[in-house]
Amino acid sequence: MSLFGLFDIGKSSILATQTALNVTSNNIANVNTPGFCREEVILDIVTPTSIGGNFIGRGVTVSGIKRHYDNFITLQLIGQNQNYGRSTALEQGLSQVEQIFNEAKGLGLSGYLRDYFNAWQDVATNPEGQPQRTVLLQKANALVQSAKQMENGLLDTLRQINGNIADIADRINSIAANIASLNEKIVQLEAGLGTEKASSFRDERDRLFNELGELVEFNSYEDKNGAVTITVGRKNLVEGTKVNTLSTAADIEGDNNIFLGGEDITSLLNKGQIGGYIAAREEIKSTSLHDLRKLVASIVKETNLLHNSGYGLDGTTGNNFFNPLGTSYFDDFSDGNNDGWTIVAGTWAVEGQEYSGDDSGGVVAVTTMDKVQTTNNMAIETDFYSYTDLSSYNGFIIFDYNGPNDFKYAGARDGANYWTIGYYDGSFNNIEQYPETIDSDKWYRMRMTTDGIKTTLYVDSGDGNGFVKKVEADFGSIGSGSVGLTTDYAHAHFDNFLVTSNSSPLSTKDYSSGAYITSAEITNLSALTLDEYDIKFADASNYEVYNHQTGVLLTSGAYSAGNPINFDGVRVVIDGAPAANDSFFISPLTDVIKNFGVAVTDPQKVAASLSGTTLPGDNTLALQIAQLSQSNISNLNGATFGSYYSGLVSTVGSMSRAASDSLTFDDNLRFELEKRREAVSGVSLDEEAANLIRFQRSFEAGARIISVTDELLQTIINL
Amino acid sequence: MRVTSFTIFNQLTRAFQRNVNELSDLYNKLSSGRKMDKPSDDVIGTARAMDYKISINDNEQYKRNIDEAESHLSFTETTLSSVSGILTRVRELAIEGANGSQSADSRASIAEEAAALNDQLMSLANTKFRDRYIFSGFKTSTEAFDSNFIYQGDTGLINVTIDRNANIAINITGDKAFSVNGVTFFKTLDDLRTALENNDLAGIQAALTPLDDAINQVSNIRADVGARLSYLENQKSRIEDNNLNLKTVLSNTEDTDMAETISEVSKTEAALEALRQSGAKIISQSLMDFLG
Repeated sequence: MSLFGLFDIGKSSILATQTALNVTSNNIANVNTPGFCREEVILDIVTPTSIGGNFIGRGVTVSGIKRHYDNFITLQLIGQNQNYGRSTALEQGLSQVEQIFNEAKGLGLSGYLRDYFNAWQDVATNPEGQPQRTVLLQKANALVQSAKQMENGLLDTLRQINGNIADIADRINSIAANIASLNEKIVQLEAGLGTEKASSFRDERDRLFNELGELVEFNSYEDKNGAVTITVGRKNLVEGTKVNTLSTAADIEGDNNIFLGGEDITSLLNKGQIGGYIAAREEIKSTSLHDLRKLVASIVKETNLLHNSGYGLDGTTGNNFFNPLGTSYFDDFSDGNNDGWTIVAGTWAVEGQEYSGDDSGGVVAVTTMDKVQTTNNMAIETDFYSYTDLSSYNGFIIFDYNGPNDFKYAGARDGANYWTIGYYDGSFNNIEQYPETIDSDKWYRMRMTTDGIKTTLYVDSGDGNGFVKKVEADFGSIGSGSVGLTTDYAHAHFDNFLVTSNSSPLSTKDYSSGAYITSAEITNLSALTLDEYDIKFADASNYEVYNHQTGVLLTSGAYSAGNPINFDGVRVVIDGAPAANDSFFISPLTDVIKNFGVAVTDPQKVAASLSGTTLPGDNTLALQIAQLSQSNISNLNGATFGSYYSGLVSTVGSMSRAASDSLTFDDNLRFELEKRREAVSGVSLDEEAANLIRFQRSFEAGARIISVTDELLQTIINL
Repeated sequence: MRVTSFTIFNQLTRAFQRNVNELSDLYNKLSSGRKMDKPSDDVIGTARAMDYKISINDNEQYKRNIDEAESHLSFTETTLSSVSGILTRVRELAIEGANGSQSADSRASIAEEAAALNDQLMSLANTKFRDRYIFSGFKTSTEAFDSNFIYQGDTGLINVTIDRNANIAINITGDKAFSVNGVTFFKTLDDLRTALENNDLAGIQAALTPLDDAINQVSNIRADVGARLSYLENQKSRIEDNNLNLKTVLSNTEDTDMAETISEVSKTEAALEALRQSGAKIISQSLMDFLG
C-alpha cells in the first residue's frame, strides 16, 4: 500500500464523521419532535487489503444508520392509547351528566320535589286557602320545569356525543388517508433496499397509529413491502394505499352508528374515544335518562291516581293534576256511577257496570263527558251493545259537542244497517256511511279517530279480526267541543269508554319488516308498572313480550293481525305480516318528561277533599298526596321518590368517579409506557452533546491524518 | 434506563400539574366552604347529605304544621274556656233561680241574663279563626249552629301531619263541644230561661243536671285539647333537637374542615415551591452549556 492510501483513510474518517455529525445534529434538532426515533450511525471497517501477507484496514465507512425502535413497546403504547381514548371520552360524557345532577351545588330535582310535597302539606293544613293552592301550582310547575331542564341537559349531552362520534369518524378517515399515502411512500422508498430505511416516514406513521389509537380500536399488520393494513371492527380501514371510509348514520333512536364497508360495526368498538362515547351514550340512556323519566312517570302516576278520586273546591272530580300518561280519560263504570258525565237528554244510568242510554221518550238521548275536549289528534273508543228491548238498537260516539243540536257523531245505525259518520243539527245528517248488517244483542267495540280534518270509524266485531276500518269522513275542520255518547229511539249499553290523545300515546319503535303498530295505549293507569317492553316475534305467528330492562319474559301468544295484545295495563295492536326476529319497543317513559306538565290551572280544581259534597275543610286527599313523599312506591322498587332520586344521584356520581379514576390510571400507564419508549427512542441532549464532541475530535483527527500524510509526502519529495 | 430530555421535561410538567390541581381543589374547598364540589368527590357523602337535607326539610315542614295546629288549638282552647265561664255562670244563675226566696220578677231578670249568655254561647260556637268556622268539622264555611240550635257541621276531623306517619286533629267538632247526651247546651240554656220566665221551680231544678253534664263535657274536651297542645309542644321540641343534630351531621358531611384544609394548603404550597426551584435547575442544566 502506498503512502497515498493514507489520504483515503483520512478521507474516509472525515466523511464518516461528517455523516455521524449530521445524524447527531438531526437528533438534536428533533429533540422535541413527537414520534421521532433517535438514530445512530453504524461505523464499519473498510475491507482490509493484504499487504505482504498482512491484512491492514483501509479506513472507516458508514455501514448503516440505526433507528432506535422497539416494536413491542410501540404496540403496547398504541394499545394503551386506545384505553386512554376510551377513558377520556367516557369521563367527558359522564362528568357532564354529573353536573346536571350536581346536588352538591343545589342543582337537580330534590329541592323541587321537596317543595312540591311541602306545598301539598300546606294545602292540607289550609284546605280552603286560595294562596296555598296557588303556591302548590307554582311549586308543581317549578318541578316540571326543572325535570324538563334536566332532561334537556341529558339530551344535549347525547346530541354532543353523537356529534363527537361523527367528528371522530371524519378525523379517523383523514388519518387513514394519511397512513395510506405514507404506506405508498414507504413502499416506494424501501423497494429493494430492505425495510426500515424510510425512517422519518415510519416515525410519522407510528405517530399516526398512536393518534388513531386514541380515537378508535384497531388492529394492524405490516406486509413484507412495508405497507400496513388496518382493520377496525373486523373490516379493513386501510389496505396498502386503499382507504375505506368510515361513515355514520343515525338509527331509529337518533344515535349515530358507525359503518365500515357497508356494515354496522358500532357494537364491535369498545376502545378509543369512539368506544368511550358509545359506552357513555349507553350509560346515560340506560341509567340517568331512564331513571329520571321513571321517577317523573311515577310522580305523575301516583299523584293523578289519588287526585282523580278527589274533589276540588268547586265540586269537580276526576281531574288530572298532571298531564296524564298517555291515557286522557277512561271509565269502565265499575264504581257503579257516572261521575263527571252530564246528562243532556233522555235517561242515562249505570246498569250493573255498564252505562246505558234510553230514548224511550222519543228524545235523542245524549250524555257528555265535559272535561274531555275534542282535539285534532285523538281517538275515542267504547264498547257498544245493540240492545233490543226498544224498536231500534243503535249507538254513537259524540265528539265536538257544542249544544244539544250541534255535535258530530260516529257509530252504528241498525234500521238501515250501516256504520256512519255525520253531524247532528236537530236531525242526523250522515256524511259517509258503510252498509253492513248490524246484529242485535251483540257487543261491538267502536273506535273513532280524528286528525282534525279526516275522521275514521273502526269496528271490532269480536270476530278475531280486530279493528276494521268502516267509514272515513272529511269534516274540513273540527272544533274543540266535549265528547260523549248518544242513542236514538233505542236503549243502548256502553262500556269501557276510553279517550286517548295521539300526541301522548305510548312511544313505540318499530324494528320489523312487514308488521306495524296501529296503536299502543295505556288502558289501566293503576296497573301500569312503568317498565319498557320488547315485543319479539320468534316466528311469523307467535309473539313474546319481554321486559326491556330485565329481559324477563312477561307473556306470549299466537299472533293475530289487528288483535290487541294486553299486559301491565298496556294495550298494543300490531297489524301486518311479521317475520321471524321482528321486534317492537314499547315505552311509557320516552315522552313522559316531554309531556310533563301541570294539568290543573284553576286553583279551585286542586282536589284536597275526598267527599263529593262541597266540604271546604276536608283535607283527607291533600294529606294522602302529601304523604306520598314518605310512601314506598312499588314501581320504584319500593323506594320513596326522594330515596330513588338520591340513589340516582349516587349512581351518576359513582359512574363519573369510576370514569375519572380509570382516566387517571390510563393516563399514568400511558406516561409510563411513553417513558419506556423514550428510553429506547428518545433523544438525550447530554448524550448527543457528548457525541458531538466525540465526532468533532474524530473529524479533527481525520483531518490530521491528511495533513500528516501531506507532510510525509513533502518529506519524500524533498529527498 | 435511559433518561431523555423529553422524559425529564414531561415528568416535571406532570408534577407541576398534579400540584397545581391539588392546590386549586384546596382553594376551592376553602372559598366555597364545602368539601364536595360534585357528587363524585364523595358519592356516599353526597347521598348522606341528601338524606339529611330531606329529613331536615321534613322536620321544618312538620314544625310549620305544628305551629299551625298550635294556633288553631290554642284558639279553640281560649274559646272553650269562655264557654266554660259562661256555663259556670249559668249554673250559678240556675242555683240562684232555684232559691225559694226569689220572686217571679227576680227570676224573670235572671232569665234575661241567661238569654244573653245563651247568645254569647252561640256566638262562641260560631267563632271563626282565619275565615274558618272552627266547630263545623269539614264544613268550615258554614256556621256550626243555626238559630234553631241545629248542628250544621259534620264530624270531619281536620288532620295535620306532625311527624312521619303521625297526624293530629286540629279541630273539635261542634256536636261534641256544644252538646252532651244528644242535647245541645243552647237547648239546656233555653229550657232554663223558659223555666225562669215561667217561674217554674221544678223546671229550673231539672236544668241543673244537664248543666253539670255540659260543664263536665267542656272540661273533658278542654283536657283533650290541652293534651293535644302539650303533645304538640313535646313534638316540637323533639323535632327541634332532632334538626339541630341533623344540621351538625350535615355540616360534618358537607362543610370544609378549615384548619385541616389550611394546613394542607401550606403543605402543598411548600411542595410546589420546592418543585419550582429544583425544576428550574434540572431543566437548565445540560452538557450543551459546557461546549465551546
